Parts: sequence; structure tokens; C-alpha cells
Amino acid sequence: MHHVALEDDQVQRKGIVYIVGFPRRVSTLLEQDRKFDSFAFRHVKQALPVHVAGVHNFCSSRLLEFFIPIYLFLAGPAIRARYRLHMGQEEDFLTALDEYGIKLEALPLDMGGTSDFDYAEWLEQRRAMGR
Amino acid sequence: MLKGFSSSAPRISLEAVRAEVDALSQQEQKYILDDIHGRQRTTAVPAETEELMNKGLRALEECIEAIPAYDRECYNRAVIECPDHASDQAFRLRFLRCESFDAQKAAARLVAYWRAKVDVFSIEHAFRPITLADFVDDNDQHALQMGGIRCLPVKDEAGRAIILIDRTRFDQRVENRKSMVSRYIFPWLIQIDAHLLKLTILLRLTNS
Repeated sequence: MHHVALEDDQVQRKGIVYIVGFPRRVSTLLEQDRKFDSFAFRHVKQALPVHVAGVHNFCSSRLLEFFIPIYLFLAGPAIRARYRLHMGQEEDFLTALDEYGIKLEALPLDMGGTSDFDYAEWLEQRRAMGR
Repeated sequence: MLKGFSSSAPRISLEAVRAEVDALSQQEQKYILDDIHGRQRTTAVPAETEELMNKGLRALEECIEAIPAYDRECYNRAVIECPDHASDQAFRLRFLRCESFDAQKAAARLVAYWRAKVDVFSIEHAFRPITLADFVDDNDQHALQMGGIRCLPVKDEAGRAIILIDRTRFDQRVENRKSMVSRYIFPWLIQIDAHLLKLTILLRLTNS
């Protein structure tokens, strides 16, 4: 997905914003995977030509909060300085994202936005284009 | 899948992160804030001119040459096996832009990129363009279709890409856990780790 994002020159200059989790699809304890996170952070920090502009993490459970310091350690200083933790209701989360320049029009319907982005269709189009 | 967690995993609290940021210079703090809010980054990012790009690309080449040969084995191989891609200026500019035209950092990242690509796709496949057609394995297909990581088509207000990470769409099937160890020992580890987690939380609550 990073390479898809980096096809745009502007993104190479301005970076990528990550949204991790959102109120309509709250992850559970068993879906946490430090091995995957360690792998992903290592590649983003050291190998991929990616500038991380911000990380917005929605967390709705006190239990999952336990894992945040572990992720922050894996993320390294540059990424964790750009990390923002969000809690509360969907409306609060979407308002907070708006303040960071992430508008409802950019977000898909399944997370409360207004973009009717069809991921499956997009995948098929990319495949048909041989990308 | 609660993989790789232990109650003793290294951690850093949000308070410690705040202290870490507070210890940065005013200029660095402003740079980070501008970055998060998508405001034009007034510091650290140079205006991109033809001259800057040419100078950057030359400096990048010099910095790569300065990296010990054993560290850039995969990079060297890429230059031989896929010169059109590995030496492509547009491709190299990605690394320079990502590091605000710091050639040394960009060189280290570029060399690490080829090493990582070999690690992930193997030496047979790393030196050619990877497309969706390469993900023929059922597990890869399933993971792709689930959309656990999606790059949204609309950028944010500042023109930055948005990547959505939805753990609930990650592949949770037991058969996709790669090793026999994780397949057979993992359920026991979950139980032990969950007990440890409860114990740690209880101890923290008791001490607070």
C-alpha cells in the first residue's frame, strides 16, 4: 500500500498519515500482533521511502491501552513524536481528525466518512492494469 | 493475534514521549507540529529545484559508494539485475524526498530497502517489479481481499496520503500462522500471557 501511495510525487514530499483503528471496528486483545508491528515499524523506519507525517490511533478500551507503550517503543522517536491517541465516541474522533486536516470526504463510509470508496473494485482495477 | 507480546516487552509511556518531544529544540518541535497538522513545513524541507535534485542525486551516489560493500550486497545486485529500476532517478528521488534531501540518510534507506525487498520477496523475485499478480498464494489473496491495510484514494487537506489500518480485518486464521511453533504452542502462550497481563494490571492497580 505504501508503494501505491508513493506513486504520487506530492505524497513523496508531504508524507503519509496513518489511521490505526476507528470506533466502528474496534480491535480486540487477540488481534494485537507485536511481531507484525515490529516488522512493519522496522521497514517504515529504515527501508521504505516513506515520510510518516502523523499516526492517529483510536483506542476504546483500557485493556488495549496496555499495549500502546509497546507500540510507541517499536515506533522509534520520529514516529512516536507524531503519534496522537484518540478516545471517546465516533463523533469526537472524526472531529479530531478534521482538526488535523483529515476531512470526512476522505474517509470511507465504514468508518463514518462520506467517501464511497469500494476497496474490492479498486483492487480489481489495479490487477487489471497489471499493477 | 497477541503474537510476540510479553509482560516484559520494552515500552515507553505517553508521558515519556511528551518529555522526549519537550526536550527537542523549538525548531524541531515546530517542524513536528507542522507535520502532524499538514501545514507547510517551513523548516528542514528545502525548496525542490532542478539544481537541488541533481546535486542530491550525485551526493546520494557518493554516499552509497561510501557504505561498506557487505552492507550493500543486495543493492549492488539490484543495480546489475534491474538497472532500469534501481538506477531510475524518479525512484531514487523518493528516498531523497523522504529524508528531506539528506543524502547520507537517503543512501542508508535505499540500501536497506533492497535488503528488505530480498528478505520479503526472496532473491528470485526481489529484482523485478512486484504487482498484485504476484500474490497468488491463497493466504496472500485472502489478506489482500480483507483490506486490513488500505490506502485511501482521497488525500487529506494538505495532500498527504491516508493509510487506514484496521486490525479487525487482519487474517486471524490459525492456518496462516507461519511456524509450527506458533501454530501449536501459541494457544498455550496466549493463556500464559493473558494470566501475566491480568497479574500485571492487578499489581499496578494495587500499587497505585
